[in-house]
Amino acid sequence: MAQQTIAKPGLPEAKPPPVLVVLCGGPGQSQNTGLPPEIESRLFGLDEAVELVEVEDACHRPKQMREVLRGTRAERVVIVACSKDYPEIELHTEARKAGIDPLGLQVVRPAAGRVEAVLAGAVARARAFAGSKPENLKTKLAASSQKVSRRSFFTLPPLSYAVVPTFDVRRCVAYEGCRACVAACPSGAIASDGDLVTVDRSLCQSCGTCVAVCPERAVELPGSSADEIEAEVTALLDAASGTTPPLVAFTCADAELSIAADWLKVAVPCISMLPVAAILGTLAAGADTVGLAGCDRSRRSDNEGIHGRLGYCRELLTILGGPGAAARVTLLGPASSHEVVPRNGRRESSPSEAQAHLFGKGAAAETVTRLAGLYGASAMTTDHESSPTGMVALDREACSGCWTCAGSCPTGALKTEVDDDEVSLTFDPSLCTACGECARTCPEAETGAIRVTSRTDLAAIARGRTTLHTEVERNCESCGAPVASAGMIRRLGELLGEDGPALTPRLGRFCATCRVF
Amino acid sequence: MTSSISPDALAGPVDDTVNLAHLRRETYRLLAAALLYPDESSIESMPVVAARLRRSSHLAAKMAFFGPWEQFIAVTESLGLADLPALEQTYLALFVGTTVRRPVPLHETSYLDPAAELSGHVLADIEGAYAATGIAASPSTGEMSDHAAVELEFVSYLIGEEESGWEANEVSQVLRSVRIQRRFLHRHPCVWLPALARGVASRNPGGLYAAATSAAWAIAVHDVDFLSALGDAVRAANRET
Repeated sequence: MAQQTIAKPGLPEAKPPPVLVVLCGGPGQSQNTGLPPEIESRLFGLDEAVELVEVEDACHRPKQMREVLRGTRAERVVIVACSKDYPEIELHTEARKAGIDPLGLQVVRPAAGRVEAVLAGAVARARAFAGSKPENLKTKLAASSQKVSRRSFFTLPPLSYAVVPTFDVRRCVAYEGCRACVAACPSGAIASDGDLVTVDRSLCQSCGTCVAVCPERAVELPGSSADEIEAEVTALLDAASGTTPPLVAFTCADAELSIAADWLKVAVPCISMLPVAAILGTLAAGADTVGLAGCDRSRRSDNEGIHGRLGYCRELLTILGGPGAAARVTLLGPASSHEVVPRNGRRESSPSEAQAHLFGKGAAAETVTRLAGLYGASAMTTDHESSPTGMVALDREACSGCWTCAGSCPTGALKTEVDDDEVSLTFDPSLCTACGECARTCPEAETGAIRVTSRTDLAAIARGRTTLHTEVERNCESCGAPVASAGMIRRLGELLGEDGPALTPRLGRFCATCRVF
Repeated sequence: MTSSISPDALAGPVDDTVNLAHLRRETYRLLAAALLYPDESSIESMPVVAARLRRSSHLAAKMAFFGPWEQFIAVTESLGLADLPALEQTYLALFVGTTVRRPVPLHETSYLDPAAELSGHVLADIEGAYAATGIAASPSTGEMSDHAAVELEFVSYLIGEEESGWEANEVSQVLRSVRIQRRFLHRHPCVWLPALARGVASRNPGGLYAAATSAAWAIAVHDVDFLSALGDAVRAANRET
């Protein structure tokens, strides 16, 4: 085995290097790492240590990797493969034997001239890996091209594993009524029992849509978490800084597309998962163009989700930068896979100033605002069914002040604020995802008390939280506890009909505990 | 618990299904033994079994549960009689409780029905599962049917049936065992072993009991999906022939 270890100068012996980068030297290749000195220095210049090892023909002889993986104290590994036919299952087996979580193992095949950026991205992604739980893996018996005979069962087919999401119960707000992942899951694998969400592992397709829609970043999908994707995009763009504005292609993990070497690839479970914030956020963080290279399922024209979001991105870019700007977001198909995409030459921001925030609550509004700022736009409104932000309009006359909407809002866009004996319903458009939960739960929905529009309103986002409605809060004359808003008591009086005038004054005086008729 | 695995049988790639069933059966038995109150006999035999299981590391390493499995095997291999007093003390403190700390119960009912509102339905369901295969928990163990060790031993028994099926080429026996294993693991150990493992890990990290409960959690969760995939593959092949 050819192996060369380059120690980081000045690295204390006791401190384990957190990321091991293994370079496949290829069959019969030189034992030299072949990395240009400036790339080595960039890697070693990262804030944490990186251990660099070259293994001769690691792609075809995974046992070569055994000693390297066992010899490292790093818990995260990046393998720079020379071939796309590397034996993934065997690599994972060797990683397990070495005590390394296979889900934290990144395999990259950088094109010439892109080694530095791709490595930096992979190292950042590996570092952001937070570990996995037993529930995150689902066993698959690899399909064999040979006809399976009854006798052949005595030899086990190769075992592989699919990643299944789990939920961080400390972050998940299902108990507040959030159903974002349940509604978005394309395979119907996620269900809610009221307080908790659960995954039907047999239905889960590991597409990652739940990661993208969760406002609280509570979905754990090891290897493709929001943190990992954001870290890779940020590091890629940072390392690709220079004269050439970078092209970033998000690719489906299962896609068999050959993409031109110009593109910096970021693997996601399926491009259908990508929210608007991830696409536009990558542009705002410094990419010239964002391409989406998907599997067959994601490219299908009836896949309304991703096509709708692409349509929104293009419409927004057209508003901000004119018709040509729409080309900054493109769907890459087999036909265009080898085309060199014309560069727009845009590199408005330096990623070091702009950490990519691609997922979770507020990411879309932050991204749109930043992008508009880069184009010099301060006010802009667009209505689009795939708008990642929404606007809530309240009819004060129809609103009874029950505040059910605030209680059901999964992102906290709607919330109540108490000031002495007044309660106000406030709204922050930067947090609204237009999910419509407030309108669905409003008891006055028939009278149109609350309306939600899928709208991006830059000026409203800039204004921040505003008050939609204020009501006087009635407190219990006996114990002082809140009873209800004056509007709600008024509405109850109306619902009580002819008994209303007599009962209404009493309803507002005491809480349910102290009330005695 | 000390039934043997032939090192020769485990060395080659042939008959992986038999060897894997053997490995799983012995692992569940060892886990069950580790979660019973320790005594001289168990402390002497467990390292021997663990060392024998280690010879099949190459097979276990193909499985996602290898990390926790290997940790459990390593801890068990290192046990000696000198560890017995400390293990007894830890077992009592962890699982029986002290006057100042509540225990981390080893019984499923404590997790699924902590307020005893289901009036023994959990226990009845578990005993029903045992009875459906024609067996019952032995009173000589002194443990309830919902004890972790009893549940894991039951799974080991079921895997034994599967193993016999593989050896005799009895597909229907294999399928029946796989189906019962999966159903039982899904309905019982997988529901509460995660909470047990987390409880033990927070109170006594690094010891035998943390290693055993973490391994039991990882293996049980793994096996539910694995058994589904295996059952599907066997059924498909059976249709082919």
